[in-house]
Amino acid sequence: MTAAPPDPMTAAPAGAPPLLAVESVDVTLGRGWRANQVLSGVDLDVWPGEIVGLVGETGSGKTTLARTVVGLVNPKRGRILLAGLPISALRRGARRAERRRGHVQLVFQDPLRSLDPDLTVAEIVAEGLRIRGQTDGDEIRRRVTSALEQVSLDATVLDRTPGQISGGQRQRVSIARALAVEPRLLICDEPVSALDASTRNYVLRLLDQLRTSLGLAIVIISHDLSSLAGIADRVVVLYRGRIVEDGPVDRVFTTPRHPYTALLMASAPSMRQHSVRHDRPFSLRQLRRTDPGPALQAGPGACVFAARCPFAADVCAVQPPLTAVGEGWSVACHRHEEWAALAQSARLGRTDPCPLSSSG
Amino acid sequence: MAIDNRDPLPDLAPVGTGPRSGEVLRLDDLHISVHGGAATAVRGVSLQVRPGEIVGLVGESGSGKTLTCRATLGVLPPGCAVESGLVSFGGVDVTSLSRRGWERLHGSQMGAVFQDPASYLNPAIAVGPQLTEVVRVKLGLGRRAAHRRALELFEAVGLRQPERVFRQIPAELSGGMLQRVMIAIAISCDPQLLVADEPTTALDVTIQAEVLELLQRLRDERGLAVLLVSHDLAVITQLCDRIAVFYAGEIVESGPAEEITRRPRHPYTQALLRVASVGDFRRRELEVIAGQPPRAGEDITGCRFAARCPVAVPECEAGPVRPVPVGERHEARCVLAARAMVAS
Repeated sequence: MTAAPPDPMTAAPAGAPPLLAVESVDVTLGRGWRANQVLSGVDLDVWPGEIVGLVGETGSGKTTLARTVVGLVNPKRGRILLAGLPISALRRGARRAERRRGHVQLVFQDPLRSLDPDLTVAEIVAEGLRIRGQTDGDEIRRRVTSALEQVSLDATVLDRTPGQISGGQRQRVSIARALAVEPRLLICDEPVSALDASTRNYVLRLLDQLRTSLGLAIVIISHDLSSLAGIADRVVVLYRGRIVEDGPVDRVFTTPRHPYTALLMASAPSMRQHSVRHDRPFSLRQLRRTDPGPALQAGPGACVFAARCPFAADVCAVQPPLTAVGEGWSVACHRHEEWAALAQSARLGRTDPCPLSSSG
Repeated sequence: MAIDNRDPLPDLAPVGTGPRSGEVLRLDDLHISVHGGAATAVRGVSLQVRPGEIVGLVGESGSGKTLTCRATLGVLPPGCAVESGLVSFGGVDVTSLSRRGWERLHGSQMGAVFQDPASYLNPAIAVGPQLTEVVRVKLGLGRRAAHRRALELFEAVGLRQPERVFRQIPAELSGGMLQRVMIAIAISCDPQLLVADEPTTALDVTIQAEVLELLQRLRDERGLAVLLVSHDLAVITQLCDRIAVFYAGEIVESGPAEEITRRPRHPYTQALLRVASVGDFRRRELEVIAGQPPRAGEDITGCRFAARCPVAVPECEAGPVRPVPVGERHEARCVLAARAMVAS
């Protein structure tokens, strides 16, 4: 497999099929009156050598999407293809066989809780290989050492348990565990949020190197937007189970086209508050609803963000589809062309940027 | 929101009417031992918190910021103890306070908020009664007055529909709402000091912004002093008036937030600023600080950062490094910063 160039603008098209294709997936968790639609019409393509950042708040469905991709949750509608193979349609033995192959690997937030505390690092990294049917001890040792080398850990950690190594080392062990089975797609669920700044940067840099050296596709779930800005090519913003914006990271983070993306950016704490915050396109005040009452009596079909959106208008009573607004860039907002100007006009003093009744 | 109908506890100056000048909290050369005295994890920490001031403690995990916080609250974990030094709250040394003495301070004069609000609330009881219990015990309010007070507080911390929240159990509230409830409980008796240990780490970024705004508003409106602990330098700089940077159990630099972020003097602060998520969204080089911090309690004669310091000179490891003033209420524990001050 050859690594595509990391630039999404050139990596995306050119006829090559995406490594991962999530096609209009709906996921419902629970049954009967407890049934809760967690994902609605999610479309996501990931190409080899690409890093996609998946952001959204708690309960937006980020983790459910990850679990659906690895086959721990079945979609109610839609399908998931890995290198063209519809893995979501596999059942029983075929699904287990596919999982054992280990093409998709997960890395979790807190390695102290996701790694077995009683196993040594060597056993943890080897486990996936054994599950895959590898029995040759020498081969296992060789692969374990090479996986640890890829994350810059040396043989001294082999006999330690997760409790005996530092947080950054632990997270590298969980990445090595994933790499040992030679995956094609790595899904990292908040891989760095438990780490200190320096260690966090180290792990992010490591992921960046791996996608180049191994042609890995990596999906990073994170709520820390500014660390994604350091390495991701593309950012996908989820809100209440729907993708509201999907585009190249440098474009999205300079001119967000969905008000929720802009709100996430404005909420991130900044070290520049003592000087002018020219790094943010909008201030929080321009993006928050000021009236506390229920927005637009959001019916079941309304835009998912309408209740929190200061720019919601009559059209927003219907969920907008994801529409292209640029090369590889799409947004689900009826007013994606107008709201930025409305927010800007509220810059000086006015806190209520847009009367609800105006319909654009 | 001063409450008049309360019965001040004996021996303590009535809160809110007492002097709000001078210092609320003063730590002087605080040493904290861990593992039953086998190692010293906090060595020589000194800092002051004035009324209406938000002081931020920042540093990597294991740098001693949380232990310092817990010593301030008198709730050190088992095996940890204040070895030497002074913790003075409202002019009184509290290091040798009895259990009863602490009970008088907790809640009524010091409030605390931690990272995971759900684990500090009783999951089986509605949050309202958990607040009224505090004001009834600490302030001696009657049932009705306590209920009124709870609703006022819920409103003050930005909970909409306080009546409804009052009757809800923790599981029915979101993380951001629970943290607001915790803050309401912490400030319920109008304390002089709020200790907030990673109060927003578990929250979504939009909720984090709201909770930080709330802390700022409480400071502005009530003159509340806040000791805020966070590993996120961006959170600290956004909120704090003063910052103390912890490294391996010591404060390596402390001073006004703006000074520290604009002109950091200690090489560790400089490194921390370079690696911090600066809250901007441009593609940038992800820098790391080479090396590992020393283990807690490791005996190092000189500067504890010297082994990782890019500009270290032999003098750094020769002997203990004292903090030197490098500006207005701004100190750095660095040989080179001291030299630069002498030269200028």
